[in-house]
Amino acid sequence: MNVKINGNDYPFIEGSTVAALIMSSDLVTTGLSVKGKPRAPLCGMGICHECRVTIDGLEYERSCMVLCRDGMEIEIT
Amino acid sequence: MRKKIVIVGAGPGGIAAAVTAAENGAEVTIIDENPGMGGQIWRQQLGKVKDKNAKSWINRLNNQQVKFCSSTVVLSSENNLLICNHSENGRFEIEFDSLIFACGAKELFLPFPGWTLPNVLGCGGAQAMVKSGLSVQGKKVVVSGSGPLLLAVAYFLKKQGAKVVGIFEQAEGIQLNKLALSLAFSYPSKLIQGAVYRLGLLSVPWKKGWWVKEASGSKLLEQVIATNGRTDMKIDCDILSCGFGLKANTELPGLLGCSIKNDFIEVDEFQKTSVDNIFAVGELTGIGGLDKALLEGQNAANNAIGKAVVSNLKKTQVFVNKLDAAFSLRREVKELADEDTVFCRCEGVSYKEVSDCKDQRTAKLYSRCGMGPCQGRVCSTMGRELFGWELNKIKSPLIPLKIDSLIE
Repeated sequence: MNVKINGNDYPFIEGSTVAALIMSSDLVTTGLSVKGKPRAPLCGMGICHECRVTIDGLEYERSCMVLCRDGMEIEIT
Repeated sequence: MRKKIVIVGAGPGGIAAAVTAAENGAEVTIIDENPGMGGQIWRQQLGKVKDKNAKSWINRLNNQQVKFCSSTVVLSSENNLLICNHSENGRFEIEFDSLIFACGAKELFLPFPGWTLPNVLGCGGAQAMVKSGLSVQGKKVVVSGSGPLLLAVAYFLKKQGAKVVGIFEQAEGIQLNKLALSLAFSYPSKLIQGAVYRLGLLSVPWKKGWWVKEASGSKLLEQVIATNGRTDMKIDCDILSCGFGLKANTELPGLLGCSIKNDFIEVDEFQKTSVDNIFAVGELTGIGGLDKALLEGQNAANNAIGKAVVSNLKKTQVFVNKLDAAFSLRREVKELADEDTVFCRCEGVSYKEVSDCKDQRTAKLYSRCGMGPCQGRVCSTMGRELFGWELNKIKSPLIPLKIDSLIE
């Protein structure tokens, strides 16, 4: 089972969230701050929105609240 | 006619309320923004319920016809309709006779140099991420901040294969000893739980009266500096798990008009809020943990279906107050930020831009503080703690949404 992050395949363990997968991968970060600094999940429970990414075309998804699904397409800017 | 009870939050408080209402014949819907049940304390690990108590409650729930709306946020309410949004299917409405809020708590973060670096997580945040699939096998982890969560999380992370290199609790040892002594008489089970964690962490330095004052690294976290105000200690680490206690998620009940007092939802002995037919339970009414949430959840459900059951608020409040006193925050941890430390993470607002603002509104007007995606959940909570900010009136939408979710 794989998701695509920025076009590349990443295998995932069933039940893991997109945020956890990104943090465990070589990417670690979920995006850049408004001032261009790398950011990654902070709260892990949907409060801080630091883990927001685009999932299957939906922008601003809190990736800590979304489970990985085979074929899912994730974009990190 | 069967009473329609809608519960917001599928943690212990919400589950206890749902079980109680359903076993008494009510038509129950439980809503949660997470994909799975359990809330934070009973968060499932890769889709599996691990805790014995959680298992038994969730089994009871599964024996009833309870509708679970996962990945769903509440937008607002009109009369007896709750307007919700499912992350994929969009907007829908649910009718209710009574509403029970069990929205739990968020972590309090405090700004310090380097706190925005990747791999700096909340304390409960680190636990939540690991349960959601983040591997900490062989990783060097520092646990810091304040509260009973520190030992529990350090114990959990160690069990998951992390190398916990230090636990830094800002409260002084004497405060914790006082807490332990008083729990020995009134809540021995809580003390035993703490002892189990401590025994599992005997090889880990547990420093009381210490805190992390700085995190650094080129792209990711590489090192933290811990201090007791006199001596500094540099520690190399991969992950910092840092939280300063819990604050109730009062935004949604507040939006629906429930009165908020001292940052908690005001309830009477029947768990009723200031709004008719709306109840609140668990961390929303005081940070007291699992037992309080289970008790209040059951009581709220009983009252919602018309059986008058009184919560012994005094007894639960004693525990709330004990925790509050033992882990009260020292001045030094509130003064860790330097001028350029990020304060509002979403909008990149620095500490110096807001430290003179008298309230949230002023900070927002001058700097965009709190106007990003989290809508001030992180920074306004800090502003309230650090500067005593009066918070703005809560407005909808509570989180960023697609425009079609907002239009009927």
